[in-house]
Amino acid sequence: MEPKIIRFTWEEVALLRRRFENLAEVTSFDADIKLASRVASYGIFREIGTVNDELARFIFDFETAKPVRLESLKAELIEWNGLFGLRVFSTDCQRLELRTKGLYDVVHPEISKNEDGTLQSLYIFPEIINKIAQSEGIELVLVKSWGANSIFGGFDPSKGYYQTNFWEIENNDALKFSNLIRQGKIALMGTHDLVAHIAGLDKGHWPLLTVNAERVYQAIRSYFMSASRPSISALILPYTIGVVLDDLAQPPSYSSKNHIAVLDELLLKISKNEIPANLPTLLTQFPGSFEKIIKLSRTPNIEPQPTVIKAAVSEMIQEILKASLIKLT
Amino acid sequence: MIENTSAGVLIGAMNLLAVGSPLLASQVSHVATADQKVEKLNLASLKSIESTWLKVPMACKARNFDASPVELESKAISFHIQNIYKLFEA
Repeated sequence: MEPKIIRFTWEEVALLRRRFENLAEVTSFDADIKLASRVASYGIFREIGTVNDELARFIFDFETAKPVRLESLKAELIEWNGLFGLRVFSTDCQRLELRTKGLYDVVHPEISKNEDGTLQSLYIFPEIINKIAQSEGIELVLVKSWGANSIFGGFDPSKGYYQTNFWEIENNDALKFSNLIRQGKIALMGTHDLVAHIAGLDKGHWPLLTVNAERVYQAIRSYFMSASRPSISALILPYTIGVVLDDLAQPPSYSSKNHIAVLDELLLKISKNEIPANLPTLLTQFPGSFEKIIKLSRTPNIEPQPTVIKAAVSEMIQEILKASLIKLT
Repeated sequence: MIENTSAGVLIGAMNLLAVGSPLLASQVSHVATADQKVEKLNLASLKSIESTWLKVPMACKARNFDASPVELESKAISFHIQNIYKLFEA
């Protein structure tokens, strides 16, 4: 049976959006697998071939051994054998190769492949990926606020949306993310989720990951206990923690000692409340040492240098404090 | 008796609520005003930090996959994943 191409009318997108908006904040794929398949497929579909496409740089032309051009990547929504999904393909190349671990697992092995084992397309079915995740003890979920921000929100596929927006800072996204991970849940709503968290999923690393997610969740929750609406100054440290935890939840960085060493110092700092969570402040600049901290967390064998880590984290705290104007009236 | 005790507790709670409500209302109002103030400050902060935020590499921000393309040794998928795909065959 050939896959059937589905083209959503704007009314169908509006209906999908309304159904999505009627969900609880976190909804398991199993609760409504057909809806979840549509939402996940649509979310990935919207990102393919755009600057927000995180799959693109791992899709190679077999003959040139180079990544296919971003502009050549297209997607179609499809139905096949009662499954809803999408087809990703390149207009430049019909012999594709995937260059990150685990990505072949989430692409249908039969209908995607040419006879020589290269891929003519990537056929992706969230319902099957849900089963794969379950076999690793992980529950796939939809997150309403995330979808409202991206798939059904102000997301403009032509712009570097995730690059420029502040959504994860403003909304203390690290708290939500850590809450999901500590419960063994992962969202599947876009290319980042698929390639960074689900491809290469390995339950062997999740006991440690859930412990660290629990630490993050409790530390951030405790920090904001007295602040019903935190200032941006107070949200930078949790945001930083969230980026490190996100890395730890990615298979290439599973159980990474360097990430955990930096996370330990960040959690220690947040517990000291050096940036008071409930102080009304105006932040005048984003700390430059944030980049240094993230790079340190990604530096192998940094963990035997705790003074370097401590210095970088302290530097960021001081930068934030210096750049924060207190507004008491 | 259980009913009288329950009623007594309920009435007591309602009295407390009645006594406390002007205070409660003003506290709620105070928190709402403080939250609005922080909200305004936060909007101003985001405007203020935008230029320095844009200088931060995309690779360091949230929702970024910290990995580079690799040479794969094998494209074969595991037996248990093959079996999962078979579950969905027509």
